[in-house]
Amino acid sequence: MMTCEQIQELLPWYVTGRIGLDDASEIAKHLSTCAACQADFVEAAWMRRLVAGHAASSSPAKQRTWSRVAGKTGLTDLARIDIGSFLVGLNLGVSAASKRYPVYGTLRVMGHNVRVVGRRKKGKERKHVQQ
Amino acid sequence: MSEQERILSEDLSLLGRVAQGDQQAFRLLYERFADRVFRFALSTVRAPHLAEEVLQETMIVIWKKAKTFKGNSKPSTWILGIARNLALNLLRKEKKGDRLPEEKLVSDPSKQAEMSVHVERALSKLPDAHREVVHLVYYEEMNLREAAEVLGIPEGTVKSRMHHARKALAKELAT
Repeated sequence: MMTCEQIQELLPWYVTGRIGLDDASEIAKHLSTCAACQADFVEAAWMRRLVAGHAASSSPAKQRTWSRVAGKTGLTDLARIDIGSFLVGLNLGVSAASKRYPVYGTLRVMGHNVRVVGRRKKGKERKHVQQ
Repeated sequence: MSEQERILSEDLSLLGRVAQGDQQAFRLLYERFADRVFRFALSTVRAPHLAEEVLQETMIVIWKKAKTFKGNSKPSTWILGIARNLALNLLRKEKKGDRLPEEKLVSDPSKQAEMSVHVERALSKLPDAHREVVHLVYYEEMNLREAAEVLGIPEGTVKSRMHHARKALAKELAT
């Protein structure tokens, strides 16, 4: 059987429901008879609401941060031209990656893309996805 | 399938696709975790521009290292663990004076409720190690094992840090 101190240490997880069933049922039983732990439970629940609400109130500048991520992982294009039609055409671009600016180009023939510039080693080929 | 199982399954699927170099999956993973990584980082570094830097570097590490994810923990635990290491590294650089300070986390009473300002002030007085536990347990709703994994400490230490943090927060919030 858990002591009041042990119960109170576990209350944050009891409040969020992230606790095992055995511990949860013992805590529930204890709370029904212990005024001190009941008060601590109310405090833990109140604090959780304040902290979670406060954390949720801040957000990053998502697009700006994504642009930086994309730039540093080579997933963004500094320049791109696409001429021709769906069946026949040419696509040329310059990417931005950390400390380099890889050039790529693909020739489109009957809807199939053939890389003609910036061939990568086998196994490192990555699909070019329109952002 | 429960909601939690569905989320876990989607996270695993996205991370698997990222490991294969799928850029769309990477973008989706970013959208899914940007707020969580930023908010967790903010609980450690205490400045939005630094938390954004942690988010940026975390995503780069995920893109490069997704293949090394072994599935021994949840993707969210793995990702927040990466963010924590990067946040601590950044803090060390800040303390050594290697970087120029920018904006600090300030509360604007005209934009935020009085209680939010009060909570921010109370949280800022906690030691870093206690504030991150409070965030993981109350905002991320992690169980003991998950929080211990992210922080790299025993479950007993998580419990005692949370206990001390709660007492200190209650005292601050009561003033």
